[in-house]
Amino acid sequence: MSVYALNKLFYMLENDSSFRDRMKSIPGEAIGRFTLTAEERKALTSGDVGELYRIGVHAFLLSGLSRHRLFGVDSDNYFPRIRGQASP
Amino acid sequence: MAKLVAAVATPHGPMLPQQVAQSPGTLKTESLMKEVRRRLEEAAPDVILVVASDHFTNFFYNNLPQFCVGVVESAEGPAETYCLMPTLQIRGDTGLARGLLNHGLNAGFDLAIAQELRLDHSVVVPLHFVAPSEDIPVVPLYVNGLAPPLPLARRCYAFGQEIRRFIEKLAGNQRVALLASGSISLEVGGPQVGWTDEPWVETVVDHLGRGAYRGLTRRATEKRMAAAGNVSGELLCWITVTGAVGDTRPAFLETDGGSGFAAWDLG
Repeated sequence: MSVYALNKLFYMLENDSSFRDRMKSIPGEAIGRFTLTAEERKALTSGDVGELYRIGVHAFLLSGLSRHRLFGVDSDNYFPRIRGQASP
Repeated sequence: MAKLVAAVATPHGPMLPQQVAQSPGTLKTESLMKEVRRRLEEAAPDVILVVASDHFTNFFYNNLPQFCVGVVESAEGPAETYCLMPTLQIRGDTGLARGLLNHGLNAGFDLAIAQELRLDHSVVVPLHFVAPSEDIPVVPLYVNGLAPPLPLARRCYAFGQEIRRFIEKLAGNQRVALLASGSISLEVGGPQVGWTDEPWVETVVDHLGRGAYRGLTRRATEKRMAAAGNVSGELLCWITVTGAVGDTRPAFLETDGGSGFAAWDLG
């Protein structure tokens, strides 16, 4: 259910520049305000975009993780991971 | 009386302005955009209604209208970090926008209103290519093609018919154009990126070319559009515009992968 919180996090990442700055400098603290399940938190902080996609994050929003190079995700590993061809 | 003089449709890829600027004269997209621009300019509209799907810029799942009219004095974009193009400013037309809002409500369309907007690439990229002068007022109309659950295609088509009725009842002699923004088959950020659902593109283009807009509306279920890519629901913007063009077939219709480009001469 809290996939809403994950989507909200990615929505803010793109639309709120101060949140984006905090995500880049103090990501652990920045995500603290969102109520995530342990599974969601693990998928996010390990950069497991395949799992985040499976959980139900909107892929359009999810791509912000690669664009802003957070939790080890970049444009080289994003698609192999979301296609299940690579793991974090 | 006011008149609907033209309708056009284009994709809105956020990287297109930069790609075209870096390699002028080489991309098929650029020449197709130029042809749409030529046809739109030939129609000499006084105002452009842009039918687009907001990309989580104004609207999110906390508050997400299926249909929304932008009643703004002005607005600018792109708001996104990833769309690299010169800032484009629009002048709205609050009189026309409010008139359409009220007409729609009276016709049974529970339209939302937005009196403040940050324009996303789905509005400014098409304008950048086909109406870049910023001289012509623009009314943004939002149809949710991106954030499931989506409205029914037949409601979008009916909304387009209502837009046409509104324009034809409008006092004055304004020349109105419609611009549909969106792709036919496209995935962004998901596992199918780079793939085009060619059978679906062929089906859509075949129906558009024959003016079989109701048939297209019947086929464009949320499930079928989603199978063509996670943002292929943007076809609803096209379907809305087909509701306004009557039986007229497009005078120009081309594709580039999953992107479509069209122009209807209604003058």
